[in-house]
Amino acid sequence: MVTVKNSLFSAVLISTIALTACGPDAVSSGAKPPSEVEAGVTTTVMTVPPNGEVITIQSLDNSFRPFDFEIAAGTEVIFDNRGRNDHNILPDTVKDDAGLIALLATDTSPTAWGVASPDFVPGDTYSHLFNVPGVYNYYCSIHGAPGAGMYGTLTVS
Amino acid sequence: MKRSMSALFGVVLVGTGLVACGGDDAATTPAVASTDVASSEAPSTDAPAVDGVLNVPADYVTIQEAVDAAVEGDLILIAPGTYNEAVQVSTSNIIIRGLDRNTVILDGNFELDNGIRVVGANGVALENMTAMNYTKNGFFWTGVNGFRGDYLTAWRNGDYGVYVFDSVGGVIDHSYGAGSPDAGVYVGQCYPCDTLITNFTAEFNGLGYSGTNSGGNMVIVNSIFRNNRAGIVPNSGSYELCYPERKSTIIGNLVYNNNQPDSPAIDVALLAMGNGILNAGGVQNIIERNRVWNHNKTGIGLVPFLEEDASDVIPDKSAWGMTCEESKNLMPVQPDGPLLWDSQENTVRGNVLEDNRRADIAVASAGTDLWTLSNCFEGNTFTTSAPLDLEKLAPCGTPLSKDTGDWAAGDLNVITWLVDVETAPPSVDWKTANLPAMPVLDSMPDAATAPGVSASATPPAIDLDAITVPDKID
Repeated sequence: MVTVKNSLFSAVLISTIALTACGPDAVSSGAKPPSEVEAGVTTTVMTVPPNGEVITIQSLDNSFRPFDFEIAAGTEVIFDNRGRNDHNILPDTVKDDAGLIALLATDTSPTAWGVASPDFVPGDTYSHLFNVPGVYNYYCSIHGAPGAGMYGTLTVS
Repeated sequence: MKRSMSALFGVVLVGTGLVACGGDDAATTPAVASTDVASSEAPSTDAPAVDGVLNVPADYVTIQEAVDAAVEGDLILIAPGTYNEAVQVSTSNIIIRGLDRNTVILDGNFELDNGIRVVGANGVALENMTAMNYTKNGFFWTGVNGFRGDYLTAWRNGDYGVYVFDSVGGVIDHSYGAGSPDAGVYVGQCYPCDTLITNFTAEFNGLGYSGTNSGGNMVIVNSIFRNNRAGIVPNSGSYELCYPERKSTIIGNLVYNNNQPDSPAIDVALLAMGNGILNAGGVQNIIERNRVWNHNKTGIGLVPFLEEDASDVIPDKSAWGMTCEESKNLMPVQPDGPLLWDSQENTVRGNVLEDNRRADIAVASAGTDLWTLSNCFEGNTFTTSAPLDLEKLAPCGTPLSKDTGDWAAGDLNVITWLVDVETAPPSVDWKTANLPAMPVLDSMPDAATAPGVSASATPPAIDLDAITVPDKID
């Protein structure tokens, strides 16, 4: 682990994710890998080890509950499809299942996450360890869009 | 003219970034009426552009391109043709209208998901067109305040015909849904919904109407529900938010022949098969002056809804007045086992029923003493009931007790329905279900010249008292 000042690091990371989420052409790429070089400045993401905390977010028809939640870095989040419909969980930067699959195939960083609908049918669970602070906006493309319909936000502090 | 645009279809999400990152205008922008549309001269797709009117394909080759170019108050006019598009709408207060209901056809080719999907955009009106062969829904609003669907035909879609979810303040009028495994028309997760369904026909679906956890000025009137597996089925369940289903008003509908053995059907439709109006765990609903006939099970049945693998416990009655937005913020409590949502405090009055083979009117539970549920029956024209003498057992305006009669005589054992479903005619693939020819239905009057008016968040007032039992039709 590279030592960085936490406050500075967090600000950089959150800014990166927010910009990625809000970009006008946010259709194909995922959150940036943790050690990407930007504008000549190397920012290194500090990953936090698992803290033993596990929380569950229900994926109902057609809502995430709770849809806005804050957790500590190192928490494992289990998404539980308790509805009767297929859903997916996509970062706002991803357009659809295919985009997510492509992202996960090429990006193994801890900020690349999500589950495509074939793997998240009723009764399925999906878990991810959120070990990088930031704001993670996500949605179900079947029943929503970024920030509307079936969507949610995880704030990892 | 038939126009194929298969090479041009595709979901375009331009603008959704604004929804995600802009303010919460989806919750606050009031509906407005368009004032930009010239009403004295008919718009034509061949005519020069009129301010505020976007013609497809003359000005924009695809509907999606026109939608993306539209600003609030604009009217999009679609010429007859077949459009292989899945249209996504994120701009509030626009009107999307076909010039002819029967020949403006959005066709998903069994590949695209929704004909038109409105996400978080308030006041969007969809008018006068057909959506068919979509893997999900013909017309879909979600997360909106104010919506309207007029003269819509939804035909052979893989989930719902007309699907309204987590949306309030709207009207679905003069519309039609057929050939969906779930419902021809659905309104769910809203309280108060402030929604009117009127002059709707649903047939050859799993369910005619479905409404999970909807209610509060949720009015279904003057419509036809026939030849589905089951007719009108409001229900409660914790698999969606804002439970229980409550305070829906179902008046003046024709409900018949809902025993259809060869329609597509989800599991709940198979379970509900053979019932006209089946209130499954709904509370405080009013079911009045409907004409209901020819069902293998009940004409009007108030039954419990069994929910396996529930996500929360059943809320106490004190929470029934909570708005949907308020209840969304509650944290769930994992129940120990399945839930039984009892139908409670419903009123069944003045309906005309015949030839419903198990019972014209019925109330049942799965263990709860029926008199404690406070459902009442009054002034219905019927022959059979379960339990027997139901109007004497459960009159309206009088507290019920076990002493009002024999509640066990002729009671309805709904537990057997769980067995019946195993032998029910199985669902038929929605893509290949044998539907009658698509009917040619009335188009919106003056579609080419009528001003575009976006959807109000307040449904029109309707004189419920003036509605009488409709005459029987073939």
